[in-house]
Amino acid sequence: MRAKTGHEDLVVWRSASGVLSAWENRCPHRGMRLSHGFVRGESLACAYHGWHFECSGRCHYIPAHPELELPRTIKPTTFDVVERDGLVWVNTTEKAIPFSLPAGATPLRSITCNTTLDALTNHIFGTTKPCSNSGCHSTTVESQQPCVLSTLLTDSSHRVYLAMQASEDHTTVVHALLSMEANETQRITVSRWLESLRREAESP
Amino acid sequence: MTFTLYNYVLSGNCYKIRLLAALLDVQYGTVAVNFHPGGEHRQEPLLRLNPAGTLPIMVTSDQTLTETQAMLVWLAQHYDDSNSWWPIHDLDTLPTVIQWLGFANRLTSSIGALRQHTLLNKPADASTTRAAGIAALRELECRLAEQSIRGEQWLAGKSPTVADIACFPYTALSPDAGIENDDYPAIRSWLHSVRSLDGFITMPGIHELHQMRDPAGASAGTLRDHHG
Ligand SMILES: N[C@@H](CCC(=O)N[C@@H](CS)C(=O)NCC(=O)O)C(=O)O
Ligand code: FES
Repeated sequence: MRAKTGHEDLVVWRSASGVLSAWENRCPHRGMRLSHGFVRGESLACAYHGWHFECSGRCHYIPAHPELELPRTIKPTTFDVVERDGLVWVNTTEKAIPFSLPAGATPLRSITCNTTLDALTNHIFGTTKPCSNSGCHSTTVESQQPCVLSTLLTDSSHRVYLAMQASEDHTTVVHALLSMEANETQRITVSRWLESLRREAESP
Repeated sequence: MTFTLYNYVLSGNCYKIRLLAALLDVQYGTVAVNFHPGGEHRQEPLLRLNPAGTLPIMVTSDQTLTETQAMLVWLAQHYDDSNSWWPIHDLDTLPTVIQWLGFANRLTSSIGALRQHTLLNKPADASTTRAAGIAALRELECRLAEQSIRGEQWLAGKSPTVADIACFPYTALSPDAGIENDDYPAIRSWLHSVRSLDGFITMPGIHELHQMRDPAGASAGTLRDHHG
């Protein structure tokens, strides 16, 4: 799939055996977005001319020239990637180090807001209203990492964690996680609350 | 003959009928209509069949249908012995199915109109249809995310219904209208589920899943593809 961090356009993919990779979203052949490609076993195949790249990024198969011995240098730019708590962390300049989340949070959903990260965090810290209409009462916001991760205390037992990812086109992806014990109704309530958070943050 | 479909290959609404017919393994006749640039659907004699001047048109032995969603119901009622595509006996699910059949018209009037504008240069207010298309995709994403919280992967109930077929084409074709689906993870996995259905067929802009094969060619592509 395609993902954006700051100024980088990424392809993030998982091989059949589960290996995660995050690369620059550009095929070294003719620059096609690799996120249009498809996973074949342990390789990612470009949708354009079908070049195959293995998890290390190395190109190991070119359909038009199946016999060719390929130089190791044909590969997209690769980035360090780590998976934790159901989130995938990528660092495009150095080693990826995930922020630690308290144990027991599971991913709920990811939604894209048409606002900058600043506008969104200002909105959350300034005006967040209780996640009303079932069981979520007091809402206090704690910031764990400035502008990156906030926690919302919804009721006495369930916390919502928001991991916020800014992209250069002035949109922000919010990955929401919720305590494992939350039941279906509570999960759906938080999903609806996220939707209204987005509506409010986007309204002029 | 079971029915005759007045068809245009690039039309997402015509494709809904071809798709459900393929999934239910129904044979039928087609009449190719020169929708663009001929505009045959807005002229006699087609206006005599459908005064609204739209495609598709379905002619059965005893009636003529001009609304895509009604045609889907007709197909399911006649050819789905399991009564799962149009769950007439499941009174909890049926109203939800009808709700999403109605929603499908909003996809046609937003993404469908913008796509025709983009591909065929038909008149449309690009910014209004774009905003309406994004609003519709967000609603669909919200529904599908909630279904996934419930452990379900279809729009209504526990198995695919005519509602999934009605909403599928213009959602899958949104990139044609300049609306990428990267921002909608639940939609992407639902598109994948529809494309995985047994008997699935394609149209221009909606391709097949690339079956994943064992590198040694040993197993016959049974693993799920993970589309980038
Ligand atoms: N209510 C009709 C509308 C179908 C519709 O809008 N069809 C498009 C083609 S996909 C059309 O015929 N548009 C008329 C035109 O653009 O001239 C239905 O859902 O069946
Ligand atoms: S652009 Fe990727 S294989 Fe040609």
